[in-house]
Amino acid sequence: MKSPSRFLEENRRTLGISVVLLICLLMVRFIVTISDFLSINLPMRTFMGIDVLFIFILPPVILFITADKMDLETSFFLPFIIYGLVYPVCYAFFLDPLALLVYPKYYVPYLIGGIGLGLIGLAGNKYQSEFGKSMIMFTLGITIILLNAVNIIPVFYYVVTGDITPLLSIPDLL
Amino acid sequence: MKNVKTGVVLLALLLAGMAIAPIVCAEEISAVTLNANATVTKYGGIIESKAMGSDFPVKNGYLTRKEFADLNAAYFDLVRQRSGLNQSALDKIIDQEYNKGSKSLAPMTSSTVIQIENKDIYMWPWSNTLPVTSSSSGSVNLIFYGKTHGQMDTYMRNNALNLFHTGIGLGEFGYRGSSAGSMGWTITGAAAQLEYGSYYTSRYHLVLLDGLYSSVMNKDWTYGNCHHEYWSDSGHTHYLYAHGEDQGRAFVDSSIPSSITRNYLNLNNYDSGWADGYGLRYIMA
Repeated sequence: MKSPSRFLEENRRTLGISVVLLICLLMVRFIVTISDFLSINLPMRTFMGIDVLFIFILPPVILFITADKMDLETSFFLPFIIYGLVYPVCYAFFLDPLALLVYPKYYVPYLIGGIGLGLIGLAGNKYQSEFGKSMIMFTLGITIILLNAVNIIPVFYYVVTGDITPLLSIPDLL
Repeated sequence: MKNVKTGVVLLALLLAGMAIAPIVCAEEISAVTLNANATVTKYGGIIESKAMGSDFPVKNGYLTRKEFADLNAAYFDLVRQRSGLNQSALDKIIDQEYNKGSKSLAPMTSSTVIQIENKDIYMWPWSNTLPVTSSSSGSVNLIFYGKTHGQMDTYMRNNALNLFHTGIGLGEFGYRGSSAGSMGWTITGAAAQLEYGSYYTSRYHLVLLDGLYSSVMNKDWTYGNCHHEYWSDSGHTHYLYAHGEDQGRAFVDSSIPSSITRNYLNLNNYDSGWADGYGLRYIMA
């Protein structure tokens, strides 16, 4: 039986990446919570910009950079479990956990997104040894993420240009 | 062995997240537990409404853009304040909403119209972001006798047990009339958009629609839809909770004192997974 400190030492890297990834994904919730607490109205473009940055840009970058020092399995399953399970569970606690956690449909987009992020982790892992395979997996991962959250395209356009028109095509946004 | 350790670490993270998140969560909304079978008999049974075909003429004419913008001026002003949009961006929203409406303000083709309790109250039991009945955005689940739209809005803001406040929401259309031959569209203004909770987290979104005056009852009436929805950071839009329409109705029900008489009405607007097809009718005055 290893001591907790020994265990943490051996898994420090995995633990660190997991924490960074999870905090990154939950950063939008922290910001919304703080702004609600301080009664600050977040402008929509600012909110969307923060959302795009912390949910769609930073996680793939963090994974791609750090995955090369992971095991092959870990490089896929770590982002898959963090995005597909841990993140939605934590997210639900910011909203209405009793209603969301027992609702199977709630998890579906996160699990699909987790597969996309997992493929990006694999791409990062294989980048040094098998560049071609790495690029194919990266492209596949990004494609899955985009198809899974198709609203990101009008939102990204709005954040960059300030043009509201594409946002109006998103159902139930307003 | 290493994978097992990784799994243990991830599980520990999960548990830590579950413990920490509620502590920092600022917006707590109690869940409404729903038992559809129990709720529909809670107030002594269901009053059947009369459903009929709806090849009725539409009496309303087209709004000009100015009329449309004036009608929704307060709402668009609210959108501007909340979203930080400039006037030019706001004009685009107004144009887009106006064009959607003016293009589609056409006679109904097929739908169901409900006569409520054999009174001079007729309605298409859905709301929609467009004045068409070929699609819908919500099931009507609330009817209030004895109050106009404005009075009901004031009541929910100031007198309800759970106080609602102004929220962002696109204009919603309803279709109602005093008789089968005088159906007409109505659109919500700013006052109709009420919420309990907040836009970027989780909210009960109450959309009130203008009713009419009932000469049979000698009272005004108004109606609407309340649903329970949450914001998804990764989906960039709102999603309904499971049975979100029924949860919304139950929440409004819990917000109105028990001294006010209420009954369930069969509104024939069942929507699988979201709405059980019943609405609550309140006698407010």
